[in-house]
Amino acid sequence: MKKLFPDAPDVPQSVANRGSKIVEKYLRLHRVERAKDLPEEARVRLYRDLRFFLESGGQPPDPGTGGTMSGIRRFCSGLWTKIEDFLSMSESGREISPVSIFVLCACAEASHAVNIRPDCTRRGVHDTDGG
Amino acid sequence: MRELDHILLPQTEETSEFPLPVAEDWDELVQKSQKLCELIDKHLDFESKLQGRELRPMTLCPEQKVSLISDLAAV
Repeated sequence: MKKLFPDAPDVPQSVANRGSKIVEKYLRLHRVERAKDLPEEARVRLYRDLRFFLESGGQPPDPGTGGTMSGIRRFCSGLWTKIEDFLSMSESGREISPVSIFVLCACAEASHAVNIRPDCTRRGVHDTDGG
Repeated sequence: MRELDHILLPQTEETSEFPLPVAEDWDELVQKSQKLCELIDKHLDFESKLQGRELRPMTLCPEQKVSLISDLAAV
C-alpha cells in the first residue's frame, strides 16, 4: 500500500522496523489482531510511545554513552530482539530456514556491536593513539 | 505503631472530587490514538487482502513498514 500522506517524507528503514515493532508489541500484549481492538488506554499508550519514538528521531530511549559494558548490553538486547523477530516470523508461517536466519542475524548484530577497525584487530587494542 | 499512624495520617490527602482527574487532554489523546489505530488497520487490511493472508506489523515487507510508519509520523 502506498502512503496515505504522499507529502510526508519517508522514515529510514531502521526507524520503520522499530516503529513496526512497537505496534506489534501492543497487539501481542493485548492479544488482538488489529489496532482498533485495543482497549482505549492501550491505544493512548501506543500513540504516546510512537510519538515519543518518532519525535526522538527513532532513537532508543537509552542509547548508552559507549564503553565495553554498554556495547555488551546493546549486543545482548539486539540479539534478543533478533530472536523475537525470528520467533514472530516462525509464528506467521513464513518459509524461511530458521537456522540460517538466526545465524545471519547474530553475525550482523555482532559486527555492529563490536566496532573494531581492521588495523586495530592485529594488535588487539581499540586505541590507536597510544602507539 | 500508633505513633507511626499519627505521623502518617495527617499527610494523607482526601480527594474531594470524583472521578479522579487523569489527564487534561485525555479526550484529545483518545481521538488522536483512534486516528492512529485506524491508519494502522487500514495498512494491515489492505496488505492482508492483497496477499490473501493475515498480516501483522512485523510480517509486513520492509517497504510496507516504511509506508506505514511514515504515515503514522505524519498524523
